[in-house]
Amino acid sequence: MQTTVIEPFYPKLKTKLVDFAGWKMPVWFTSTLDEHKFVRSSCGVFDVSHMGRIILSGSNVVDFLENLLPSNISEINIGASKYTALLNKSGGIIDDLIIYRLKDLSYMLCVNASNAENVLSWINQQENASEIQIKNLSTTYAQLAVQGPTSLEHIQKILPSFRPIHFGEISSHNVDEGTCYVARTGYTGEHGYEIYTPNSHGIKIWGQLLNNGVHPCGLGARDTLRLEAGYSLYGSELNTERNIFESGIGWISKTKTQPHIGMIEKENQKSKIRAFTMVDSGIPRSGMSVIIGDEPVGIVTSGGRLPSLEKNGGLLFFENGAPKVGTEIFIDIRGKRKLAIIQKKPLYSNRIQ
Amino acid sequence: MSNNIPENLKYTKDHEWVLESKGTVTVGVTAYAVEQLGDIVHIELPEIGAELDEGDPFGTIESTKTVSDLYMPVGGEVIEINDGLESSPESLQESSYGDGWIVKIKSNKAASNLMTATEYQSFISE
Repeated sequence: MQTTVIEPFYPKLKTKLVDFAGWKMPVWFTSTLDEHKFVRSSCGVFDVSHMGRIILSGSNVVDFLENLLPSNISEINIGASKYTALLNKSGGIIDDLIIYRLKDLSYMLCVNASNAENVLSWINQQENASEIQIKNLSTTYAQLAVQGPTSLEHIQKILPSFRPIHFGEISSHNVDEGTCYVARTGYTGEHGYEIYTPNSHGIKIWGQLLNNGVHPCGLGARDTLRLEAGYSLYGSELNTERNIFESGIGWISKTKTQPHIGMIEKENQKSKIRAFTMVDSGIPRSGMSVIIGDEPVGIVTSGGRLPSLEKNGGLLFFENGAPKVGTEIFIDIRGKRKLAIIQKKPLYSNRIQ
Repeated sequence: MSNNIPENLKYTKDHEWVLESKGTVTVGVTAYAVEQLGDIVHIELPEIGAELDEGDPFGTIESTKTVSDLYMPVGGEVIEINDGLESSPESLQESSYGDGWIVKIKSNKAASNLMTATEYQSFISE
């Protein structure tokens, strides 16, 4: 199993580690519910150095990316980013990712740890891959997500040259160890930042953040936070069997007119993903059936406790068209029909963003 | 770690604790198991009057991440449930051996295969 460069510096007392996509990762450092609350009310830090980070550059990089991705790449300004996805030829989703434009002809892709190898090999398989430079930062750069309402002050404490940026922007900073990038992106639905920085600097600022009272958070809280914020998770809402439109992320392709890999007809495509909360007691889990009347009509793609709502709920996929907000449905929880209701997505929203 | 394993209780391999008193068996989940599960967010209890055999699942305990079945350490009739746990499952974490008790069973025979506190301690240390 691989470990991140930050792992030796995890607090040890109550930390629970698990195998996640071949990485030894923390589920929690103290408690998922506490960590969730820290991020919603003050600030938490996640070690996400297991994520794949790939820099693509060269004079033909924009054309290459326009063909590779379903989003309009030419409209990304220097220092900006876009959430997008990598598609196979039939439009199935290989991975979802964030693309940052670091410089004029240099883009960084941040991809899921579980898909990092597939993504690299897919990129390398492309006809004109030899014309672009592909640099894998995954083992040389740490990635820390600093998330929560007080995250800005914590970023400024560890990086005095940092000036506020807008949501989705990324700025670069010279540190003794090399170039550090700070992006205002995240997976929690809170005001927050993701820091991409050379390993040795990552280790240093991890220690500083913890000393400054930022709470270390694990994958458990990362999942409850993203679920409330309505973000999709690869392997749950997103997979190679579904296209971006039915997966509820068709908007990533809204301004794209150029042909690209996996391009499909946009007409009559509707999201089959809906958010829901439980009315009856019980915790929905992924894979459970959704029932309307007596008919199974879909499945729970992600489910669990939603700590900020003090409810249970999650996200659903409907095989043939999704019902409206307010529709009553049943979730089959281990053989018992439990009442639930379709809700607006996101389930939780913090207006700071 | 939860080194504090009460001497007056007996234990199962499913990490339940058992208190036998005049034919009534009180069952809970050990502090060690609760710590391994993490935050407890939901618990399902049996109906009062349910008659179950030793080893039957009688409820579930759910943490933020997992669902675990609870098993009858002894056959018998469920005569009392701690329904306060349904609204405050965190009692399981705060007081595993006290307010966090789960069910009381009128047993039809003496429980077998139970461990003493010392035996349970070495069982979880393995």
